[in-house]
Amino acid sequence: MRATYFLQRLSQLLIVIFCVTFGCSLLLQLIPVSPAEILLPVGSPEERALLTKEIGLDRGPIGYYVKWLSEFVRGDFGDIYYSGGREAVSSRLVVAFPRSLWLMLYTQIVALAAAIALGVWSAYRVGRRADKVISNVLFVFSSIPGFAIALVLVLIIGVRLQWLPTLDYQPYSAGVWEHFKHMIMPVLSLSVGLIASYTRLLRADMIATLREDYITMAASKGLSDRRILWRHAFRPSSVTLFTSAALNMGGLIGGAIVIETIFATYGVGFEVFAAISGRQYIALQSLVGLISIFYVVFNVIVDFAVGFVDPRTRDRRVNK
Amino acid sequence: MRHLFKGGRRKVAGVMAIALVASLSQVAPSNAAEKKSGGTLTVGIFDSFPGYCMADNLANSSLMAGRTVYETWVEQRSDGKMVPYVLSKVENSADFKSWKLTVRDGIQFHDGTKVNGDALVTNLQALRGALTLLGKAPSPGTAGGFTANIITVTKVSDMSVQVDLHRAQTDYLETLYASGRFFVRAPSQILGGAKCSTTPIGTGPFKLVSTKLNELVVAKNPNYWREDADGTRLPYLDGITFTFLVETASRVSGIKSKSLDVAMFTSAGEVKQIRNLQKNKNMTVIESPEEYYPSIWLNNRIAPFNSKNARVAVSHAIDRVDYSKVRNRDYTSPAKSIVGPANIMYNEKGFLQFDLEKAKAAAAAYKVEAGKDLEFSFPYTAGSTESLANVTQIQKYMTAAGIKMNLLPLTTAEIIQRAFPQQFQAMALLLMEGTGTAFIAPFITSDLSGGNQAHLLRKTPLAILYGILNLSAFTDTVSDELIYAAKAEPNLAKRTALYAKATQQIQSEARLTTIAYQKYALAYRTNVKGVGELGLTAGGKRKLMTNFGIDFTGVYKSGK
Repeated sequence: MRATYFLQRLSQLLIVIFCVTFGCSLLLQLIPVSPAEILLPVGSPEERALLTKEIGLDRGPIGYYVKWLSEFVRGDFGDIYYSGGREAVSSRLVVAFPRSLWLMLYTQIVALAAAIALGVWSAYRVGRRADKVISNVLFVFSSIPGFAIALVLVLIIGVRLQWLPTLDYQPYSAGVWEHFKHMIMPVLSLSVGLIASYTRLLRADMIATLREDYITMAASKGLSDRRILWRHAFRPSSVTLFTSAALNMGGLIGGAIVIETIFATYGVGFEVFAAISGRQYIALQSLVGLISIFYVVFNVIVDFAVGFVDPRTRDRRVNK
Repeated sequence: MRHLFKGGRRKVAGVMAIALVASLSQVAPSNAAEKKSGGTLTVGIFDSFPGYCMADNLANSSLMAGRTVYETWVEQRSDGKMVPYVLSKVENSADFKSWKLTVRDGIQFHDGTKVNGDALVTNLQALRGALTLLGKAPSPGTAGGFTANIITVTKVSDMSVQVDLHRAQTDYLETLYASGRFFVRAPSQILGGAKCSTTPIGTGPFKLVSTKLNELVVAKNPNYWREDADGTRLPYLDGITFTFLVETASRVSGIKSKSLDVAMFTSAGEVKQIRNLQKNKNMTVIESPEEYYPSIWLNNRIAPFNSKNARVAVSHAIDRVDYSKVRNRDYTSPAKSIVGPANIMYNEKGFLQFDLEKAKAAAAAYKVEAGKDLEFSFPYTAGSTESLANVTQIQKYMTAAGIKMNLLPLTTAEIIQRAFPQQFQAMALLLMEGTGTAFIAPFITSDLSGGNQAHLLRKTPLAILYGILNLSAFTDTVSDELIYAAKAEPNLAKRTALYAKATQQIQSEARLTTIAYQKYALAYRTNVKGVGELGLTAGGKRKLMTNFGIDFTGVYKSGK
């Protein structure tokens, strides 16, 4: 049964990736001018013809896609074209990808940790002052965009107090504290909004779960509140939370462009922006392909995780 | 206790004084020796790094960064005069048609190869497109237009090269400098194929560590050829990181929070932030002169601006004083000529100043001539609030004069891509700059080869470069000939007069117009020292601050 479910999800994953990447490659074919002219604006006709052939644009939409895909799966994500040469997209990703990955990971850890604590507490104290305060504060935070939080943090923590650097990314090799020092403000900026939405999701699910009969039964058996909350209520209530987190992961990989720009962390989001503004369509196609893979893979992982947390969901899907 | 203190006071004081003198005598010389060496800087800039090959134009603040890796054959002194730099000597024929350039001995590129006559020939031939035609180097890009007056480049000795020109040019060294853009590139970079744009190899005080679209990291070049007046080998700094920070707020907060040591700004939309930093006592803010002339290019080749009435109407409609006040907070001066007062071409005659009645009359005349209202589209950078605010302000002036101006939101890449085949009806772009004409004439001349029918690019697709820089796409034989004549004129007074006539001709025909003169600012923290202190090898100093910022060769950091 599990193998069938796994294969089913895997095939869905491949279909989604195919649709996204093929759609992107079709868009490239639909551009009213030759992509070679855009990639080599000062190149000679011979150079452009050579590039057209090299990229596979002379093979038609299917031929081009097959060529791109065969290179993509081998880790060749194409090139970024300059007037005097080119640079492999992969060489840029080697720098940008770890930045985005750390940023996403820390953001999710912070957001989930805070949201779980607040959501469970809020549901437990539903209708009381603590719940109202948490709900109202989070409502305010959810309405403030991340970039505004980033600018406030920069002004207060960076400029006024000078506690943390306002710019740049430092890898672990530069020192663990250096690394974290540069990540705190970007992570906070991204996670505040997520904390608000995650907490609200978890709170709502927890409240519903706490009204279930088996919770009443557990309470009547004399189990402690802590045990009921964490052991019996949290697990089934966390399905929506983790699904939402997975959906955000793909978005954070390529969509943190504003925060990346404010803090000059320059990850994958910036590479996407640069590819769009520089009309580097081949690079863009590969970047979109990669982001879509992440998006889908994270969702599949969460699907499996949810199935593990709540086997009923897995069985329901398979029985369909 | 009292006794002990009283009795020992003199002894203690004496010992302390001796210790203090001893410590000072030991520390002071070592401080003096160390204070200018070592340390790194982080610099926030507002331009990205599109590449380092001939056609990749580093703009303003990224040019400042590029010039830490690269040097130029000649340098411009603060008085505007061009002096040899990587060259040791420059000689010209009496008719200014032949220039002999001699390379300074003892300089090597970052790859260890020697800078010599061969390297100079490779650089010049690459810039003019000769190596592109042979398939040896990438496209020269717009440099092919700038250098189109060259007929031949001949190596005359191991260290000397002769450049022969089609038309006499007294200011050829300005062309060789190209406002700091014609770098001394290593032949290995130029001929290096796919890495020309991504691997800068120069002779500069710093060498490449890494580069990306948004960052350039450079480290001290241990074999740099220059020393300071005390004989210390330059540069002082160990390295510099230039970071592209598109958001002005990021540069401001970066330098205030000490994440940056230096940050550069432009008066085009960053005046508020420059003024904010000027008030900060932990900061030194220096400004360039107003030697940058953003223009409104009116496409003379297509409607509606193939009509003089249309051009005159637009030129008269712009309230330059109001624009400087509203958009630039009076930080810049309203234009009175297409170039600024410091430029040799400056001339107020013929410049069509704001006059709403004349604008309306010209618009009405256009309507009679064309049979329809005067209407045109004007691109701006999509997503840029500054760009939108600027064009909206201009649109307001047009509306007041009865002219319809449609705003066209496009990406920067689209604007540049469509600008140089001259596809826009009108557009705003800062191209012209400086005190001379090397970075002005190419934009207002119709044929940069000077009519040379035998020029090497003439029968190739690259011949487009002769006129591609003239964004207004006009052919005016009167102004062309005046500019050629001025360039050939050795007498400064006569040359100035000829240029002034050319300017008057262009202005009276309203080929293009200018709104305000622009400048740049650079802020650095108080522990950054030595800015503008290092002289040139030929004597004198560079300009303290330009559109390409400052020179980092003699900069150091105190209190590291």
